[in-house]
Amino acid sequence: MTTIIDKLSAAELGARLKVARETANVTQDASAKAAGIARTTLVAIEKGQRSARINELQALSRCYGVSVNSLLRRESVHVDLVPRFRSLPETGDAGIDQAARMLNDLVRAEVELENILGVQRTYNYPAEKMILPGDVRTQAEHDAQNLRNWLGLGEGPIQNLFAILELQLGMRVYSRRLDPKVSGLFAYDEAVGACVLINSSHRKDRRTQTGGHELGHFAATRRHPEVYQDEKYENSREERYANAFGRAFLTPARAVMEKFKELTTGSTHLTRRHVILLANFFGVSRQAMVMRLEELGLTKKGTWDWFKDNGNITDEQVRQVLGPAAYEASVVESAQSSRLFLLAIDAWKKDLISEGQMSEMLKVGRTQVRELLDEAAAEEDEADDLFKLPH
Amino acid sequence: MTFSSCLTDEDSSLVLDASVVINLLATGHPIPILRALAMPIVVADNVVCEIERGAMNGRQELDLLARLIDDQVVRVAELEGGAVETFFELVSGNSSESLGDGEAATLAFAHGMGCSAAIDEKKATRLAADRFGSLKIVTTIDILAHDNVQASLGTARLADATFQALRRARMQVREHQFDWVVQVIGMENVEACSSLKRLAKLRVGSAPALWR
Repeated sequence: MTTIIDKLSAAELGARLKVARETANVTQDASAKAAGIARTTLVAIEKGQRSARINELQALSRCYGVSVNSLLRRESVHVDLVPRFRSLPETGDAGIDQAARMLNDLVRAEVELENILGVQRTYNYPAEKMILPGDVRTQAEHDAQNLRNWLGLGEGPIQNLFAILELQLGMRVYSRRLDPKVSGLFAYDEAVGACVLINSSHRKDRRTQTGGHELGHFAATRRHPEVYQDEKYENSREERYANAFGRAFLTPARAVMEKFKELTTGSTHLTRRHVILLANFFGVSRQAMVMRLEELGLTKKGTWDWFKDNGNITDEQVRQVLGPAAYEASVVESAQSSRLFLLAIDAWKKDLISEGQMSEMLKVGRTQVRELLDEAAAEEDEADDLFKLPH
Repeated sequence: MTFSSCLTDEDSSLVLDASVVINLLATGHPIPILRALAMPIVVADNVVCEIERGAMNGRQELDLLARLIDDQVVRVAELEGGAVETFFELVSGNSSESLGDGEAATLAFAHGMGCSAAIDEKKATRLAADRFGSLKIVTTIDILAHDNVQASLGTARLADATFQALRRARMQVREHQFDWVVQVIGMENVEACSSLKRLAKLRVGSAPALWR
């Protein structure tokens, strides 16, 4: 079995194999052993000095957990975000590594689909802020307010933060089931732009909070990749900035004060009902809402701790106050990435990708792929000339 | 019910793609269905890998497939010789002309062994017709509609199996297979199957007496 893969140049294939190996975090020794070749041979293959043979390529693709098709498809894109995450202090954690690979693979898929469909991505990034000396929280409040103004959001609550990140700013946003302790990841690459991955197994309010935090990183520390674990101690100015930015962006001071006044007028005490209604209005967690009230001096410091020590504010109480429908809307979602899904559906309709390729690119199971395609087919059948787009 | 399965007893053996395996597992009766065919059933190891990767969010499919393999209902095969070359041909090149590993391995194996391939995927079916004119492609519905399968399962179990594959796995149905499917599962169940909705809509216009 000595046929040489001649569809790609040896140099291109070698470069792809190197990125795939590094992304999978496999040493040259281990991958050479898996392919039954000497390490020097593997080095020569990665440098493009020798072509990979079919059996070697098959063994390497299995060792790196990627399909042979993704290595050999001509338009396949090779992005290397993972090594940047590995340079972070959390290095070595399997959950983080897996999340970083997921983000990398989703970005690759989206860029490849853009390329094969001939779609140009539109970016609308505000200029990057620098974190200045002094109180980072004060600066974050100002910067968040400025970004709200720049986006024309005014003071109101944000119904769908991810739609703003994806459709208004042009960031690449995905949500997938990740290790429970990883809330989200942020990376920026000159070629592909800003990319965010959110843990879809977290509740909606927590996902929004994560999105606000990642937006803070995008605003001020864009060039540093970041893994957000919100139960971790805020150990750097950058983390404190991002947290404060997220809070200020999602719960702007003036709007919180106004709504607080409106809801508590006539009351003598802050109640759980007040907190539930405020949190629901701004789309944030009960804890985040109380902490914000404390921060703004609307309630005494230690209020959240008191609630926590006295039976907490429970899901059942939320259900009672908001009704079951509003409560159910807050739970876990399945994998999402609206733009990537649209591109993939379009490519499938044009017969550019198969169901198997789509499942691998989107990192979702066959049944969810079919669900997307059924929905798209149903929408298409509905369309008549009234909905025809001018282009 | 004019449709009849194109899978016949002359087929020597059958290679299953992931698109079909997933439907068969969703039927809830994969073992009696495949045993009733009374022909060797093969799954390429790339298909097993693909189902393994897709099972990241739940191991149910993988466990069911492992049972089929353990019970020797299906045999897992590695590609060899000329089939490997064909496989690499099918996974290389432009996106529009290449296939995922599982789909490519299924076609390469069936072509190499001169047997039929069971595949529900439209791009793979197109490429197979372009490249291997003599290769016989069948779908999950052809398997369910095979005389032996119908006889072995009986009316009630066949109806349940077909309905579960449609509902749980969103099994795809071709236009010429639609009437057969409706007869099997009953008109009252069509609404519950999202992959049938488009075909059902098309029928409303063409056969008013039956479909309104």
